[in-house]
Amino acid sequence: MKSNFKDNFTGLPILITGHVNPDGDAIGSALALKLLLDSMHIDSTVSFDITGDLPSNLNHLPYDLITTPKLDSFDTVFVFDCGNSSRLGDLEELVLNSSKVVVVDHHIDPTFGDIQIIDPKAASTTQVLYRIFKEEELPISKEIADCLMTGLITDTGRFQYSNTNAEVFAIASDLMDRGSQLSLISENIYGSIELNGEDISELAPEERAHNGVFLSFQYPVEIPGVSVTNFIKTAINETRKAKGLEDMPAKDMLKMIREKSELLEIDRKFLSRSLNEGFSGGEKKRNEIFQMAMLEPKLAILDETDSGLDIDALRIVANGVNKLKSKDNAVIVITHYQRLLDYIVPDFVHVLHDGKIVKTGDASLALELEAKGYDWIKEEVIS
Amino acid sequence: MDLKEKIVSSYVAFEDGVNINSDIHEIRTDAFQQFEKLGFPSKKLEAWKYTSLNAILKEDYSIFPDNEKSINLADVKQYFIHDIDTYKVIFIDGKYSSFLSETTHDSIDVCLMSSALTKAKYKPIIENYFNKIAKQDNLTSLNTAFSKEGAYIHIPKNTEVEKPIQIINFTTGTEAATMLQPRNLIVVEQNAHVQIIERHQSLTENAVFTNVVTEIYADRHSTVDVYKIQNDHISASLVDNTFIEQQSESIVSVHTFSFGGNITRNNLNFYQRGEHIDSILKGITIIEGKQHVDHHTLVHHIEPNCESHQDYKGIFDERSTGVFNGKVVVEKEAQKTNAYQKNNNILVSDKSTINAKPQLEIFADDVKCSHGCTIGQLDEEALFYMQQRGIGIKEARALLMYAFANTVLESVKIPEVKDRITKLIANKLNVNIAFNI
Repeated sequence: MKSNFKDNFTGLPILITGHVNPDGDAIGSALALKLLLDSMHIDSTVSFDITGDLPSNLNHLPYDLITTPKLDSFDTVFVFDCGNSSRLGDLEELVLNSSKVVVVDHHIDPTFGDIQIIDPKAASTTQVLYRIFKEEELPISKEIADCLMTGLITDTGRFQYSNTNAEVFAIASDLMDRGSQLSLISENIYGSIELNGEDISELAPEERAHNGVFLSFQYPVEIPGVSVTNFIKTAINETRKAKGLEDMPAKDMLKMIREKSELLEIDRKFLSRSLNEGFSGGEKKRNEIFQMAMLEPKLAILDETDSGLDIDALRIVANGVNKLKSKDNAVIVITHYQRLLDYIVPDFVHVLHDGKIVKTGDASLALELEAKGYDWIKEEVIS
Repeated sequence: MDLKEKIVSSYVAFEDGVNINSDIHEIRTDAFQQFEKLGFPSKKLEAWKYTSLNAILKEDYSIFPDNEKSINLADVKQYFIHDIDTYKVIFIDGKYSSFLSETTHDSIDVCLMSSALTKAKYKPIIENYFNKIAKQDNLTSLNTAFSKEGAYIHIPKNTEVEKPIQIINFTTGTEAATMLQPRNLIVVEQNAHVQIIERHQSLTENAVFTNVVTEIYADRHSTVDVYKIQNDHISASLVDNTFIEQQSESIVSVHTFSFGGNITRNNLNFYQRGEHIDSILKGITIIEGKQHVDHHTLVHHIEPNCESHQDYKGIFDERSTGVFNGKVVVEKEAQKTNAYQKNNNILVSDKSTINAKPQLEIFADDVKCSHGCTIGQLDEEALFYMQQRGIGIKEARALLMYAFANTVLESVKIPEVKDRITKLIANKLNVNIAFNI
C-alpha cells in the first residue's frame, strides 16, 4: 500500500531544507511545508546554506521563518529541489546523519534520500508538492498558495518556458482562487525600478543614493557621537568618491553648509550637535531637508515629512522643499493630509491603495480628497 | 623542556651578566624563587579564568637574544610619534639603541634602567622605589627576576617636562622566538608633570612574548599621562603589568589602545595613598580574527576624598575574544570616594566573545560608586539611515564604531597621539574616511 507523505510528520524534530543559495522553487517549497506544519502545530526548522543575503526579489515570502539549526541532529529531514547531497552545502552532514531523509524534486534520479518523491516531468518542485497537498487533502492557505506560486513562476519563467503545460495553468488558477496574487509576486520577482534608464532594483541603499535617490525618514534615527556636519561631509564625500570625484574642498563645503542652513533657518550651533540626538520633531525634519539640500538628489522621497510638525516648522520645511525644486529633479511627497500641500503645490497627485496607484490627478484632486475623504475612491476601485 | 624549566635552568647564565653581590640581585633572586614556586598562571587561577597563555608558552623562546642588532630609522619611523619633538628610550631585542634614542640628564633623568640599577648616584631612588609596589605574582616575579633593562625616568619636583617621552621596544626576530622582560621605573616628584607614550613593536613574523613591568610613582600634586599603543604584529603577545602609586592631589591617566597583537593582557593597578587623588583609566579595544585582549584593572581607594574614572570601549569582530575585569576596592577609611566605571562592548560578529566583570568591594559607607557594563550590536536602523545618505556599509559601520569609542579619545591630551590613534582606527576598520567629529 502506498504510504502517505504526512506519515513523515511524526518523526521529530523536523528539518526542512534545499540546495545551497536556494531559488524561488526551493524556498517556496520549503516554506509551504513549514507553514503547513505550523498550522498543524508541528515544530520544524527551515534552514539553507546561504552565502550573503536571501534574494531580495523573493522577500514577499515569509523569510523570518528561515533560521539557523539550533540542534545537532534531526529525526526527519525534508529536502526540496536538490538531487545530490553535496548541493546541501554546510547542511549536508546534518542531513545525512538524520534517521529519515525525504527528497521531493522535479529532477531525475536523486542520489540520496530514504524516500524520494520525484516527477521529472513536473515544471517545479512546488508542482510536485502541490499534488501531494491535493492527494492528501492538506489545507492550502493563501500564504501557502503564495509559496507554491513562487516556485511555479520561478521555474516556468512566468509561464513562458516549454515546461509550462495545461496542468501548470490549472494549478496557477487554483492557487489564485485561494488568494495568491500572481501579478504582485511576478512583479516582485521580475519587476525592476528604473531611474534615468538604469535599473536600480538590485542596488544597495548607498548605491541608490549615489544615483541620486534620497529618502527622508518619517522617524529619523539618532546617531550619538556623529555630528550633523561630519555626517553630511562624509555623505557628500562618499558620494563623490563613488562617482570618481575628489573630496569637496573644505571651503566649498563650508559655504554650502552656510547657504543651505540659512535656507532652512537652522541655527549654526545645531550643526555641531550629534545627529538627531535630542532634536525636537521639527528639528529632525528640518535636518532631513537640510541634508536633502546638501545632497541635491535627483529624486527625493519625503515620507510623511509633515507628521509631528507645528505650523511654523511646516512652513519652513515646505519652503525649503519649494526652493530646491528645479527642472532637473523630482520630489515625491507622501502624506495623508492636504495641510502640507497648501505650501508645496504638487504637479501630480496619485492615490495609492493596496500597493497600487488607483487614481491620478492634479493639485485639485488633493483638495477634493480633503473635502470628500477617501471612501469614494475605494468604491470606484471596487466597481 | 617546557618554558618554565628553560627559564629556571638558564638563570645562572643570566647571572653572568649582572652584579650578583648587590641588593638588587637579592630582590631578583627572591623573585626568582617566587616564580619557580608559582610557575606560569593557568586558567585555574580566578584572575586568568578567561585568558590562557598555553598557546604562546609552547614556543621555544630565546630568553636572552645576545647579538646587537641595528635597524634603520626609515624602516621604523612609522612606529614613532614623529611629528612632535620627544625624548626617546628605544630598545631593540631588549638592548638599548643609542642611535634611535634621545635621552637626557638635563634636570630630569630619562635614561636606562641598566644604569640606574648599577650606578651609585641613582641608588637613593632605586632603594626607595624599585620593586616596592610591583606585586609578587607569577609574571611580575618573573620580570623582577630578570630585571636588568628598561626605561628609567625621574622627574624632580616642580618640573614640567615639555616633551613627551616615548618608550619603544622593537623586536627584530632574527631568533625563532623571542621573550622580552623590560622593566620600567618612573618617579615623578611633587608638582611635576610628564607624558609617556609606550609601545611594543615586533618587526617579524616570528613569535614574540613580552612580559613588561612598569612602576610609576606620582608624588603630591603631580600629573602623569600614559598612552599605551598596542598595535603589534599578530605573532606578538604582551603581558603588561603596570603599578601606579599616587600621593595627594596627583592626577594619573592611562589610555590603552589595543588593536593588534595575538594575546594581550593588561594588568593595570592603581594605589591611592593620599587625598584628593584622581585616577583615570581608559581604553579602546578593536580586534578581529582570533585576537584576544584582556583588561584587568584594579583601583585601590585607600584614603578619603579621591576619585577614579574608568571608561573602556571594546569592539570585537570575527572570533576575537575580550575580557574586562574591573576591580574597585574602597577601604573603610576611604570615605567620600567617587569611583566611576564604564565598560561598553560591541560584538560585531556572532562568533566573538566578551567576558565582562565589574568587581566592587566597598567597605566605606559614604561613597559614590557607579558601574555600567553593556554588550550590544551596531544599530541596524542607524546603518540603513547612513547608507541611504550615500555612506557605504563599511564606512557606516566604521563611523558608528568611531563615535562609540570617541569618549575615550576625547581625553587624549596630545593632539598628535589622538591623530595617530584615529588613523590606526581607520586602518583597523579598513576605511579611508576622516573621522573628525
